[in-house]
Parts: sequence; structure tokens; C-alpha cells
Amino acid sequence: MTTLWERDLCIDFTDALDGFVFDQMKPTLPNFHGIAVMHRVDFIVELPDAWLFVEVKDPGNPKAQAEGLHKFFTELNNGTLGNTFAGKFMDSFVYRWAEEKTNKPIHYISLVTLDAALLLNLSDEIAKKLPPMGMPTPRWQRQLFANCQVFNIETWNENFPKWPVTRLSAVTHPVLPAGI
Amino acid sequence: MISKLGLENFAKFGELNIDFSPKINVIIGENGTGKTQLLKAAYVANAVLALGNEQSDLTDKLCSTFRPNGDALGKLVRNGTPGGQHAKINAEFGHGQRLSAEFTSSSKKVKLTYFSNESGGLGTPIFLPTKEVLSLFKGITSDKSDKPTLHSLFDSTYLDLCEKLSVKRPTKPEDAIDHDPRFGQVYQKLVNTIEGRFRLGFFGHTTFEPGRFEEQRAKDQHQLNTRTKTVFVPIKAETISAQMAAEGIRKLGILQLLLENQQLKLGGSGTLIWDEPETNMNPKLMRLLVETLLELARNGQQIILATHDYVLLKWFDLLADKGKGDHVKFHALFRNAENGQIVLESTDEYLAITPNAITDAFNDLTKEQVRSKMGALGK
Repeated sequence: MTTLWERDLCIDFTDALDGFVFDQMKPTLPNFHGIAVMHRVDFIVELPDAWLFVEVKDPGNPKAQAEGLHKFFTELNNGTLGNTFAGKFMDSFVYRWAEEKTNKPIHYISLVTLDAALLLNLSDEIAKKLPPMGMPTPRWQRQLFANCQVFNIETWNENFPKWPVTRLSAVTHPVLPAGI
Repeated sequence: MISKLGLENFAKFGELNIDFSPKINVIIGENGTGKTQLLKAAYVANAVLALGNEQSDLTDKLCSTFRPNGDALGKLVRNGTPGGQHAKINAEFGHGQRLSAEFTSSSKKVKLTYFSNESGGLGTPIFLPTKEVLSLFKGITSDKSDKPTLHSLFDSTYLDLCEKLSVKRPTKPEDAIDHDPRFGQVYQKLVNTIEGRFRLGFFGHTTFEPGRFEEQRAKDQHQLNTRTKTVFVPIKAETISAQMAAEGIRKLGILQLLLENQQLKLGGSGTLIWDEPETNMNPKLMRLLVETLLELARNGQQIILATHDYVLLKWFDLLADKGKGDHVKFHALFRNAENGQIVLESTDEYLAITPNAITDAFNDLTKEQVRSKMGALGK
């Protein structure tokens, strides 16, 4: 089992072969990314037959900082949030290609604590901004991603019972790893 | 305004009690959970009480509004109700007005068990049905139309609305705008957004005149002082028949005409009831629709509407401003899985709507995408 944290949210990937924080920018920690100018998804998880690229945005965090919330909702309102998500995927893909770690279908799944109906539209927005941008691809032998979709906590847990999400502040005595 | 409605063994309902907000009520639920029936029951109770005397024929109003099989009152008793057991309606209004009635499957007439409208002052309600009526107006109001045929084609909500629309406006809207700021604010915004106004001419002929309201400076009669006056400025486009205007625009046009002729009078009308306002309406008009309804409610108009539309629901959640006194109450109708009865849950909080048939539909889409693109991953 691989357990990954992003501030107040914790995901247990119970059937994962491996998983790690992809946007690790502390040189002393394992899986140091090292290229700050490249955009990065939060986690990468390896399953027997697939890779998961996972991005987490938590505007529903009761302790969310005003500045971060303002940036998130500004991007949501002006339509650039899809660009941000798409950029994170593309740069992460290139990085993983250079590592020769793109050998299985990639699913880009994001966890965003908003209304499910709004997320359905966001899923389409991100997918439209990723190659092939909705265009026909008769020469392509494979697809960049198998699925691109955004979930909230409820729809994530409903669809992925083997990867349960927990809000730590809702747990009475969360057990946190050292350093969190 | 209606404050409580209780239905027992009536239409689809075994037992249902609903407390209405004096401002905005939004009813949601899957098809077949009785949303329209609930709206119609509130309408009939308000309409009969507003007439103000016990002789008003509740039986006729129920039959012409619900259109049961064979126009038989007894068919409004809920299926499966034991013979002899009563269907009951109880409706209570803001100033103590109340109506209680009952009947059985063999009744020919409704028995009024309580009728109180002593305080008076209850305005007649307005019911906007799913389909807009401007395109039907000429046919419905024509002297040449065969009344029995009309009654067989349309329930009373359509006919009553046409009757209200055909009332002549007491004054030019331009004058009313300058004299009544509350009316002016709602009315001008509506006209300017649909970029024109509907006119009802002779013989029920309905047209749409493109244009907008603007403030112009005008001298008073002694040419001494300058003041501003609101005028309608037609734009250089041909006036078209109402049928040529988009259906969503025609629906908003009904509000415009009812405001003009004061059948929808801020603070003076009965409840405004609207069944699925979103039908055939461009989602981009939805924000204006919700802003208009909130503005009406801020000026004392009670509103009850039923919807299937997420966009409409979400605009209410986003635009309702408690600082301006807005109150939106959500009522979810659903079928109890154990006994099949229709049940109601009401809440003031959008996120607490349970079950929410509208967001459930979005969740179904989410699940289907996961199923088709990710198969058994994560399961």
C-alpha cells in the first residue's frame, strides 16, 4: 500500500506497486525533482498495468489560505485553470518520458474539492487542452493519456474504493508521518 | 403567500407536508415524483382562496387544473388508497387564510372542511407552465376559438395565464418606470436583456419590438428645469411576430407583460409558480432569470418553481445574498425505496439537498467515464 499526503488530504493507494510525491523540491528527500521551471503533478502512482498522474487542489480545505484560494478561483473564473492542469500533465509527461517511465497507459486523475457538476466541465476543459486537442489522430499509434478526469472526495471514493481519500482534519486523531 | 401545504392520499402523494419560504422555493426531484402536481396543488389552493368566498368551485378548479381521467374528481385520489378513505388538502397562508378540503374516489364534489379568508388581501396566483403561451395567445383568446376544444387541449394553468396576459396595462411602462423605482429596476433589466419588448395588439396579435430603455434628458413643461426621463428606444430592426422570437425569450416576455399590466404586482400578487423555467431557455439566459426572480422576491413576491436544471439551481446558490434578505429554500422530492411513497426533504443550504436528482445525474456521467476509460482500476 502507498499512502500519499497533500496538506489536509490523504490517499491510500491500496493496490499500488509504488507511489511517490512527484513535485518533491527538497534535495534531501527521495525522488527530488530538481527542475523548478517545469510544472509538476503532485503524485505519480504505479499500478500493475497503468500509471496514475494525480493532481490535488483543495479549495474546500477549512484551513485553506486566502491567497491560494484567490488564485484558484481567479483561474477557475477566467478559464485558465484548465491550462494550469494541462501544463502540469505535459511537463510531468516529458520528465517521465526522459526517465523512460511512460511504458504503461497513463491516467490523469485529479482531486478538486468542488461541486461534482463543475468538475465534469473542468475535466473536459483539461482534456481539450492536452494533445491532440480534440483533433483526429490517424497517424498516432498510441494516446498520450487513457483518461483525464477530475473528482471531488465523494466521487473519488465512490469510483475508486481501493484508493480511499480522507480529510485529515475530519479524523479525530490523525496519524501523520514524521515531518508532516 | 402560502406558508404550508399538506396533501394526503392526493394525486401521487400518500402524505406530504411542505413549509414554504415566503421568498423563493425551488423544488427538485426525478421525473414522476410529483413536482408539477405539488405546484398545481399550491396554485389551486391560492386561486380558490383568493376569490374569497366558499362558493368558489374548488372541484372545478381541481379538475380543470389536474385534468384527471374523464375529468372525474375521484381520480385525484391516490392509487391504492382504500375505498372510502379521503384525499385531503390543507393549505395555510401568511395572514391566517386557510383552506381544508377532502373527497373520496366516489365523490362528485369536494367537501370544504375549513375555509377562512376573513383577512382578505390574498392576491391571485400566477402559474407559468412548462411551455410558453405567447405563441398560443392569439388562438386561446380568440372569440372564434371553440371553448370546449380549448379546455380539452389545455389545462387551466394555460388558460388562466392567457386571461391574465389579456388584461390591459393601466399605464405606459415608461411612466411606471419613473414613478415606481422597484418596478423600474426589474422591468428595465428584463427588457434590456432580451433586447426588446413584447406587445399584445388587437385580436391577440403578439409582436416583439427590438430596442432598449435609455435615460434621456428632457425639459419640464415650462422649459425651465432639465430632468431625466426613461424612454424606450427601438433599434433599427424589424418588429417581428412573437412566434419568430426564440422560445426562451418568449418565456421572459411573459414576465415582462405581466409586470407591465400589473398582474404581477410587486408585493401585491399571489404566489408566482413556475414549472421548469429552464425548458427551451438558453443556459446563458439563466443568470438573468435568477437575478430577476431574486429581485422580485426582494420586493415581496413569493416564488415557487420546479426545476431539473443544474445551472438554474447553482445560480440561486451563487447569487442569493443573505445581506439583501434573500432566502432560497430547496425542497427535494424522492421516492422512498422501501415503500415507494413520495417523500420530501427541505433545506436552506444548497449543499445539503438530499437526495439531489440533478447532481446525481452528473455523478452518473462521472461514473460512466471512469467505467469506459479506466475499467476496473481502483475497484
